[in-house]
Amino acid sequence: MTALAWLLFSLTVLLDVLGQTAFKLGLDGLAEGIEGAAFWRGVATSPWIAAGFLGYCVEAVSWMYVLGHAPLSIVGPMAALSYVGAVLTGRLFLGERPRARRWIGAGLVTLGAGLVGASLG
Amino acid sequence: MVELPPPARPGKARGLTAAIAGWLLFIAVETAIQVAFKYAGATLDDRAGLAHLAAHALATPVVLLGFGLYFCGFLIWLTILKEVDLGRAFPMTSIVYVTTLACAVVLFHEALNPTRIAGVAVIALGVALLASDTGSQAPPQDAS
Repeated sequence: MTALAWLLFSLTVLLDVLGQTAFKLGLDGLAEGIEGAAFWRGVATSPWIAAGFLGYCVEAVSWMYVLGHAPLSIVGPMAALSYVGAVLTGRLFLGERPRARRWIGAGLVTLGAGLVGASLG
Repeated sequence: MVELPPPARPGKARGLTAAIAGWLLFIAVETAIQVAFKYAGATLDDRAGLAHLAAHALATPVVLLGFGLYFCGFLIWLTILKEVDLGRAFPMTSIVYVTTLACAVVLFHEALNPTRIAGVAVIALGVALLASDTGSQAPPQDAS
């Protein structure tokens, strides 16, 4: 795998985490209990959700480049690192309090991603 | 003394069957998305840069198929969540890592080694574990 492929892989994971976090921030910012047309109007006009969507568009292109230059059996499983990022941003920016189980899971994903990366030889 | 209302059991069984069928469909769709994007990435010409890749991608059927499947997966997921608790449904999605690995070997002829297989197993276990914690420790409104 080239340095550019690793760089764009990191960008893909980062944009995935930031996108998910932005979606959550946008949805949390909508008025309590709104439904139907008002909900979708809120979604369409939220700057957070727009930013997350834009991030997803860039991510899709970046991810296609990565898949074109790396084995699926390497980057597919390693993309699970975005779960680890989401646990961290949930804790840091969304006021979530993960239980021990979630931290242990995040640690295992990191360990597994390290193993998969190392298996490239 | 207490009699179960007869329709309850068949209804529940139907719900369970639908949930399992939905889950299998979801795994198949999620795996197909990875395969479609891998196929797209492997065949698209990116020598002219990422902007060119993006323009080329939007005119390529397999990419549009990938996005279509992505949308289908989203709808199936919402349907599953109507029937099953997130804490049960989300950990079961980690099987996608195993099916994707199988496709990498069978369709794209990638070679595996013991380290990679062990790594994927540890990732799938980790995702299942973190996904099974859907609550939050502190907020008082959260019944645990």
